[in-house]
Amino acid sequence: MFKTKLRALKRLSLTQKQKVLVLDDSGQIDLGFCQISLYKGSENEVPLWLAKELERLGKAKVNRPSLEDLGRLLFQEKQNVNIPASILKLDKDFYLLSKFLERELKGSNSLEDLEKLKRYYSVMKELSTIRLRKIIQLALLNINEQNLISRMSREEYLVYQTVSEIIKNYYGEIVGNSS
Amino acid sequence: MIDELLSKELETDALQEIPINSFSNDLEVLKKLRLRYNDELHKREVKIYEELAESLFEVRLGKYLEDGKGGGSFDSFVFELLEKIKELYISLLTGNLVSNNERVMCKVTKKVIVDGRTLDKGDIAFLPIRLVVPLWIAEYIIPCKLVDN
Repeated sequence: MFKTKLRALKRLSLTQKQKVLVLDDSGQIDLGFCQISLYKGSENEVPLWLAKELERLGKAKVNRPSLEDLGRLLFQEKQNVNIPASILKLDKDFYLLSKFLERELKGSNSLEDLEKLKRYYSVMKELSTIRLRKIIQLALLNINEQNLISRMSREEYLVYQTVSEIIKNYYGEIVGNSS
Repeated sequence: MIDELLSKELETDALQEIPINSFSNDLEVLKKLRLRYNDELHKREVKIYEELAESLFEVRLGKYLEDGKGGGSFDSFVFELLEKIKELYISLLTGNLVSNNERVMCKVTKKVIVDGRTLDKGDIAFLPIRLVVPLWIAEYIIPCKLVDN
């Protein structure tokens, strides 16, 4: 079920509204369930799927974390690497939004951006690994405080839920004590 | 909207009850979108909703397979079909069907034409397994079992 749920979460994220900076007039767009007006220079909230399309067409730029933001997050996350409850709050769609930065750097021809792309991969790998360890620890310790859960991205929460479920079933179905 | 249904389905362990009237207004909007627009942007939008519907199906199917509970929702027909398929699958693998190679002996309950041959009510026929499933679901035949459970 993990892959099925992960796919569902990714699809669901595409319908969530994200901030974009409008770079070119698109006028009014009828999306059926709502109308959106996009005029150059304005900042709007649009569903992520539309934001992706507009960015691809060069008509808008999605609000994304910068490499400096990611570096800062990593630095802070590393401060208490062995304390799971120290996990920092991320945007629910953090990993999807970070992909915009990856795409931007990938699409560039400059050597500087190539270096940035390498740094991006390294930071994301380290950040996600530290957070994953904290999330698994929280699930193992059966800590389900809303305050901590609300700091996770959608994908991270799915990992937390899945590990919690495995542990619950392990004690409930295999060992015979669901405490 | 489908995104809300999917979001709710992902939040809970048990299958959510989804009455058809809970999304009938959305269907009108989606029908209009399909008929009114033919540009790439709106095609993409419709595709997004199709993918959400696909995920709702997958997640609900997964829950049903894990818990064996369905019903009470617009899609209860899916679980009823699955029950029949499962029953046939188990009977096939445990020697409870009267079969010969890939054909299964079936009793015809309604007149039907199969591969150009007319089968009348009451006839007994050996049918390929790939045809047994849809014909049984459509209630044209009943596969003959050695022992009825």
